Amino acid sequence: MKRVKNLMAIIASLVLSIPFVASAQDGGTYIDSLNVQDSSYMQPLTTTTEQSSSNSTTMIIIAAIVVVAVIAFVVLRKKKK
Amino acid sequence: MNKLKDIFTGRNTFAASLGLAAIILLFLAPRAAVNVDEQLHYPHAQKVVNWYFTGGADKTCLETPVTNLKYYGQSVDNFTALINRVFQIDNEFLTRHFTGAFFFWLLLLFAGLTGKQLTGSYYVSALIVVFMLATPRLFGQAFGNLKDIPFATGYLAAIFFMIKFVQELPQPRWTTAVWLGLAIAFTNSVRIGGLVLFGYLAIAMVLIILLKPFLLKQIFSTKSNFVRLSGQMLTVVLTGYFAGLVFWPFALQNVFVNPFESLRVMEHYKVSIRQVFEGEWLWSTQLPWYYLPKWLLIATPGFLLTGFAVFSGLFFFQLKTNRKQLFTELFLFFTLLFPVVYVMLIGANLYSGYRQMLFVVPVLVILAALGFYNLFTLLKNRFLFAGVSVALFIMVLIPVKHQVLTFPVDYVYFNQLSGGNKKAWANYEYDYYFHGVKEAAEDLIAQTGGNNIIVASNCNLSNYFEKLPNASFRYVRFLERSSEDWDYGIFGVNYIHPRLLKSGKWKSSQIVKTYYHHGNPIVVLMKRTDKSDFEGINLADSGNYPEATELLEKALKADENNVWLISYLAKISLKQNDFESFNRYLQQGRAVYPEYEPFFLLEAQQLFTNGKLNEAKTVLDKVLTINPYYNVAASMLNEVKKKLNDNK
Repeated sequence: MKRVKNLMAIIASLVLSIPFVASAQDGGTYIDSLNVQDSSYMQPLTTTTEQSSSNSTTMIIIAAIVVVAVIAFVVLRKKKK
Repeated sequence: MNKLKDIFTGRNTFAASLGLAAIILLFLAPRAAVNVDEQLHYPHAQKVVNWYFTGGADKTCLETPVTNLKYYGQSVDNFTALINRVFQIDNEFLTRHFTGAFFFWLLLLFAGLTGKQLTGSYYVSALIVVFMLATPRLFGQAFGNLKDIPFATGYLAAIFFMIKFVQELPQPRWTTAVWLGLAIAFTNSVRIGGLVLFGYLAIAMVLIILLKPFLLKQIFSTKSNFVRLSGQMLTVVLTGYFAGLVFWPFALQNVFVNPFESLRVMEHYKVSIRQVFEGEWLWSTQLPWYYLPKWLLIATPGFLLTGFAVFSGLFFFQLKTNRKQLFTELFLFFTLLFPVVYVMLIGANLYSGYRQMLFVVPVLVILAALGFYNLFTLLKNRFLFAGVSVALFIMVLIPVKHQVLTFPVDYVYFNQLSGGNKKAWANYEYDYYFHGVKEAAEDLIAQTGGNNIIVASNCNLSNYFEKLPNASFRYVRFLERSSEDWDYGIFGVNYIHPRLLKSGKWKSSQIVKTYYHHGNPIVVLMKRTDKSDFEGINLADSGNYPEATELLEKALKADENNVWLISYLAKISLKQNDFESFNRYLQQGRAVYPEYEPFFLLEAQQLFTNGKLNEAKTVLDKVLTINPYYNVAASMLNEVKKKLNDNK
């Protein structure tokens, strides 16, 4: 019974210490690696480039409409004359 | 005189221009430089070939989490890997460069044929060939760029057959339909962006019916015409889509889903690369909306911009007249403008100038040649005609002279409008393909003889040293070069902050030779006679600070602009709580390179350690404005914010 209690105590202390282990490195370990990357091959972007495909589809339609509208304007203007 | 006229017919002139182009390409292909993308795509192509040879058992070509290479069809790269494997060719890059030259020649052919389609004159075709050869950003990538040049070839071939197909309505020929399908398939096989060509075909059909409404009646009132056309359209769609996937393992895993997944990835490419633009240093995902038009304006030769302006002006001015080629001209306009407008609208992740958009340049060339052709037909005055001809000749000579003087780094061209190459250096991305490394590598090989050497570089061009048994190669970033063991360094003047470039403080005392391009340094060859820097860093990393400091101080005396050494010395001081030395090193480093990220990180760490959280936050905010991808600073900032919240 005592052994079980000791085991439980060890497990509990391990679990309770997780937040401290996972928390920040006050001891200055942020400066262990000072390297500066030239490209983000190792760091997938999560903000600026992530867009939904439906957004792309909308843009395709808008771009096509803009360019076709210019062409249609030219054609119609020519026809009128 | 008459005999001469008979010889120099339009057709013969076009053929002669293509013949001359072939000779130039064959002569230059063995002398071309290997670019950094080749070192990325060729090994992948070898894996793709192995996938086929092992019947799909070797799946390494499908596992590319970092490089995204599985999303590229890259059929031409794969083709060269296949040729090299089957024929056991030793000089693999030579095969690639001849292949590139062949596809560039095909691009010339289709551009010329499209010019003939427009004007009915082979002289225009010959003019287009000359214009294409004199466009450095295009010709300069003919040999090593097996993505963008073949894609441009497929794109233009598809446009050529599309125009032919539409002009043959209501009864297009079957051969035209099949060639159109194959051209679209080839384009898709290089890059899935070729799917846009299906949309182009639909728009071409709508446009021709708008211009010639009677065609609609001819198609729908005759059953045979309708059935024939439906069959041909189906052939184009099926061939164009499925034939393009045959040499692409990733697409073959799911032919209806994966090509579209690839398209999505390509449109919003997830890899960001640091770029010099307008004198600033930005990540490619931060570049402004006008990045592409600005690059087109500064890096396209003046004669092309002039020709295009003349074409556009005359086109709108002459709209009242009955134009026979209205459809073709409008359609070409569309194929030039649509991709440009589209990538601007979606905020596509572009970098390396307009390399990814090279495929619109041949269309621009055709329209520019057409502009000059239209102008020449208008000029009745003989002297005016001669004057314009001479002016055009001189304008073409400017980029040609640049090409002759700078090959194989000729693709780095900025026009007179932007102030030329001299003004562009340190303001715009320069030799992004590292073509300049070739000469430095050849010099080094000639110097070293049989000595065992370690060569370091800030690019992946190990190919130059693969045949040397006594040389080993390693990659290291230029500013962090002291962290690696090497004897000689070949560094492209790339990935360096433009302000550091302009101050000249990027230079190291270890440089033994600088390679220039129009007076601008593009590559440096370095020799390391003393390894105190490398040894000092190793000692610092293992915690032996006193000895490390001694060695690093010694190295810094010899190479006083080495900010990496200064940041290491500052770090050691900080770890030893020697704040006086720390501040001195920080000041010394910032006098060389004020924007260097490690200095901010070290300063923030000092403030953080001393409990000055608000000041630490300000410093971290600043460094993340300079470089949003300096992840270690982002992690520290999160911690600082957490602590600030806890203290509230």
